[in-house]
Amino acid sequence: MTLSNDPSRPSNPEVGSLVDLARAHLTGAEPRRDAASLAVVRQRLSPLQRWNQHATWRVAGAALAAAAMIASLVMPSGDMPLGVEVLAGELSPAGEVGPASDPTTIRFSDGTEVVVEAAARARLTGVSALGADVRLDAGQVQFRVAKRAGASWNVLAGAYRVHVTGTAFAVAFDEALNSLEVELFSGSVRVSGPLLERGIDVAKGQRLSVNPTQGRVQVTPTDGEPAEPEEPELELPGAEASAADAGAAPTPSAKRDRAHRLPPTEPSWQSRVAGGQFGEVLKAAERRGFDRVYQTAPLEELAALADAARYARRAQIARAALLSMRRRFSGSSQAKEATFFLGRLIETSAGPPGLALGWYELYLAEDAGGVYASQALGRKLLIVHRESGAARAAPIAQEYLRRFPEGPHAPNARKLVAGR
Amino acid sequence: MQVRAFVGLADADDEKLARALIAKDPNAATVAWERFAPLVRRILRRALGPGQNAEDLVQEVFLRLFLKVHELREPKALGAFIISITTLTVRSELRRRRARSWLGLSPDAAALDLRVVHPDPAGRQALKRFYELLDRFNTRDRMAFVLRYIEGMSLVEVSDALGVSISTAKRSLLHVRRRLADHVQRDPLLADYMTGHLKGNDVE
Repeated sequence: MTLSNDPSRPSNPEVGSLVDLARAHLTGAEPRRDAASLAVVRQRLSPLQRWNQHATWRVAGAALAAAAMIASLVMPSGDMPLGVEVLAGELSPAGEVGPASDPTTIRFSDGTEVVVEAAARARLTGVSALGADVRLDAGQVQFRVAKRAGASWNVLAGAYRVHVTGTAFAVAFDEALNSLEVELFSGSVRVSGPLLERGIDVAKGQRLSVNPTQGRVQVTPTDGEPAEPEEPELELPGAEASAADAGAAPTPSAKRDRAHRLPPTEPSWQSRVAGGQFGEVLKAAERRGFDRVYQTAPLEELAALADAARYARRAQIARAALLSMRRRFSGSSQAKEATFFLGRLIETSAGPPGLALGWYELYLAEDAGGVYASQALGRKLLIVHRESGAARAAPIAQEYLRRFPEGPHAPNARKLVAGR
Repeated sequence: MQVRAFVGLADADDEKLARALIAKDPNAATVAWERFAPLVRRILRRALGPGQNAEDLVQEVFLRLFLKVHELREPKALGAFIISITTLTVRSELRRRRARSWLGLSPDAAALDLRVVHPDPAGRQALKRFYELLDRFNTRDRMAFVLRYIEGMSLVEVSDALGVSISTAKRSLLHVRRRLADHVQRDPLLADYMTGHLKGNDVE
């Protein structure tokens, strides 16, 4: 294909190839959700159009939204978003509530009720057949979520997410401090967000308080006093720790023990690599001491460090991290993949091709069906052809075509096989 | 399940459909959705990149369309109007994502498993990396590139969608092309992926 003659394509072949990749794999097809999506739009539209006509959408004791009936014309009832009814208060065109002098009560067709307290600001951001998403900007909201299979409700407050399946609870969010409180009256919820990257479970009878400014996470029984700062505190191993114990048969001393203080947590190295913050990962490893990282860091961190170093072209660090993965976590899939990346590292660093070839052969021997097998065999093909000629490379080309007839190196392999 | 388009309006041209939307014809919304939702979804996905749940934004675009369609001066230009709304929605979303990034917040939970986008790990990573490079450009330049090269729009359509002159759109495209080519060639992950696709002359 000639790339440069088409004005609607970038002339650079690499960029053009990536554009092709995006065109091929990012399409507009989504047939399964079409009806549901349109129904949600209709449901959101209905109150907005009423707002346009009457300036305020106020419904007291009204039947379910007419939009739900419209939606039922285009989709089976099982997929229909829940109906919404405002029992008291006002809902704005954008689904916003408050701040108002009185509480606003919203009831959904599955029986779930949401009460937005006076002075609070909240927004209904999405309704599905299984639940709804409510964004709490400030103040307090109470939920009584009807129990039913597959129910899914979310309260989004700042960067926090409270995921609910069936329970009664209250959420309070302080916008200025970015702090969150969740109090459970029944059931349980899972909360994630700042300091709680991997989520924390809060159960009946517990109150969760999160204050990122102070780096503080507390779980206390709702019928007890919060722990006093001078009491011994239990250090949790990670922000994902469950708080389930705090709800069971509290004793006075146990109540104090249930107050947890966590050090401020930082994004994981993996998430930093995913966000392109390679330099941050390298700095973090340097602060901890590279040797210590190689010797003691968990596999995921080593892999993230290796990736960060490869992307930042710090070949020595990448090599040490990859070798450490192989040495300390032998047999794991990541350790096997490290073998392949050691080969790539040598190639990208203009190292001896024979050494890279050795790593590729080792990878293929250790993990013949691995995710990089196609690339490893392809790289081996290219190196052997370059270093030893077509005759030596031809059997590798045949093997490649047999195993990966549609692989990225197949055109090269075919040329070689055809030229024999 | 597909939405069933209504006979009559389904065959109408964009101008008739726009007039039906303005007149609040009860079938018009379904026909508009069926006709334009794939386009809107595709532009959103191509603008935002893999792993993003675009469906909420598709709904947002159509919500804005239904509320604003009476402001459409040229009913014939319904398609361009929808693309313009889509572009504005993308710009808002990118600004929101950048704000979250500046605040050090993690990506939304809506960022999904990339395996559904590309079954091959190398292609998946290349696509992800490509959009990480696009993240380095400002919203206007990025959208110009996406609409022109990935979506295949003409320069006039791109400038209309972005609300800029053709010369401004050209400058944006030139800027992105140059810098992106440089980024791609220096990126080890993409270089690795490209080896198998472009360097056929390794074997002669």
